[in-house]
Amino acid sequence: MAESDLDGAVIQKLVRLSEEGGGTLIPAMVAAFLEQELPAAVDQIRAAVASGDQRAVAEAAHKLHGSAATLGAASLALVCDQLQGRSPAPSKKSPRDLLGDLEAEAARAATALANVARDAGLQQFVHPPARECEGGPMHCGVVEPAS
Amino acid sequence: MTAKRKILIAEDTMVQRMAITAWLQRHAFEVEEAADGAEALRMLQFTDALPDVVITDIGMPHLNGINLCRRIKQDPRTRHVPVIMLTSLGNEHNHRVALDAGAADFVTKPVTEKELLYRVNSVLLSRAHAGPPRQDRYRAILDALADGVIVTDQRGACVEANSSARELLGYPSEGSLQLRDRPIVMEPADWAEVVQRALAEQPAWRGRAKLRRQDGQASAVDAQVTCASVDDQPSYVWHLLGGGAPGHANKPELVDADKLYEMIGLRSADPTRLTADEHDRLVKFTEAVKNAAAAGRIRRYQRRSAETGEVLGRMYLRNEIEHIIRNRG
Repeated sequence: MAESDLDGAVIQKLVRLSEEGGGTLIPAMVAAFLEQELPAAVDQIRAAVASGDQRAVAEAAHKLHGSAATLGAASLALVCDQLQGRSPAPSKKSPRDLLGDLEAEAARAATALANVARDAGLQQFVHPPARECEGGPMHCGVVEPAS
Repeated sequence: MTAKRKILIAEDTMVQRMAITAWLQRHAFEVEEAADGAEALRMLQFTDALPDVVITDIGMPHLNGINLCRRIKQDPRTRHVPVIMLTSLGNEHNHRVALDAGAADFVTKPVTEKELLYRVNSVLLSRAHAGPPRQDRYRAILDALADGVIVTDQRGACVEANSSARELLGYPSEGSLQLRDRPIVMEPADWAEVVQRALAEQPAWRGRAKLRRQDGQASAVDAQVTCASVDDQPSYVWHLLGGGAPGHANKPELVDADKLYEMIGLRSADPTRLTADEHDRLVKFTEAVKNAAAAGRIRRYQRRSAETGEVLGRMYLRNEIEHIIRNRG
């Protein structure tokens, strides 16, 4: 189920590229994304939404969009577009609701990407999914959807 | 065997930097990575082997991609290195700013391998055709001319100027004049017609003209104007006869004291301008101080620092300028 959240064509290209380079690229990219960029970006967006700073929301969402799209996390990239107000189909949701969507999509993308990295055969680069991770729900960039 | 083409990437998001690096390495490029514009600039400043292309994101901490590009284009050592900007989809403003900053091309995010490779190869190919060493050689020859040379478009906006012309018009000797939006030719008001009429009968128009200086004042020059095709655009080449270098009759009557302060690494808040004679005298004085410092003749007055000659030279020149300003009342 999780892999279906990712853009298959992008993943396929990345897998091929990773294999050509000795198999470390995808695990390294996924690790950088899940351990650093995703949790940092979600934190920034959460703080910016809380303070009503739309410009900061857009900036953080813009950065996250680039990395998400590079890794084929299309649904996550779409929410980033909506948070920037740049989606082809603009959302009528409030920033707070969009933050909930972002957290949900971040969790799904994290699980899916962790599986992709695991399939690449190098689990050591990636922490286990959130429920198994001792570092807490944000440790791997895997966040629970807002209730 | 040909050497690998080297590319410097400035991108603050690790995931995108990794992907771009892998794409380029796959196509046999040597890649160096910088996490922001400031790091990229440091790498450029301290490397002996400049990259063939710089690829930079725009939004980065410390030094953004636009300012990185400007810094690259301002430095004579690096200005021939083409810069490709990574810009956001639909952000036309960024595209324009990127090109104005001197970017050779831009790639819209999200970046794809195919698009990036196409742009990189395209820039390398056009660079190979244009030949940066040749450009540099012509630029060096132009800058070595004591007379000012400027190129204007048909509206009279400046599209190129050598060092002497920049100096004559009160601009820094390096960097872009950024005058494309404002006509620089003030007189004759109908200069284009006058020149075109003359060029119909003879190879060049020669006459008196007034050009707009950086401070907005007019600078009177004797000029010889010819027509040429520059970048496939009909353009006018203005040979400023005798203008530019200090000591020539056609330089402006007054020059900014600020320029002299700049020469000695100081910044003045005083807008006072110097006469041509004062300017000449101080230029000679500065040269003499510099030469004396280089020969170690000034150092004996100051023993504490290895840079004393320079320091003392600055002090002398500042005193000299301030003396002139004081005496003028």
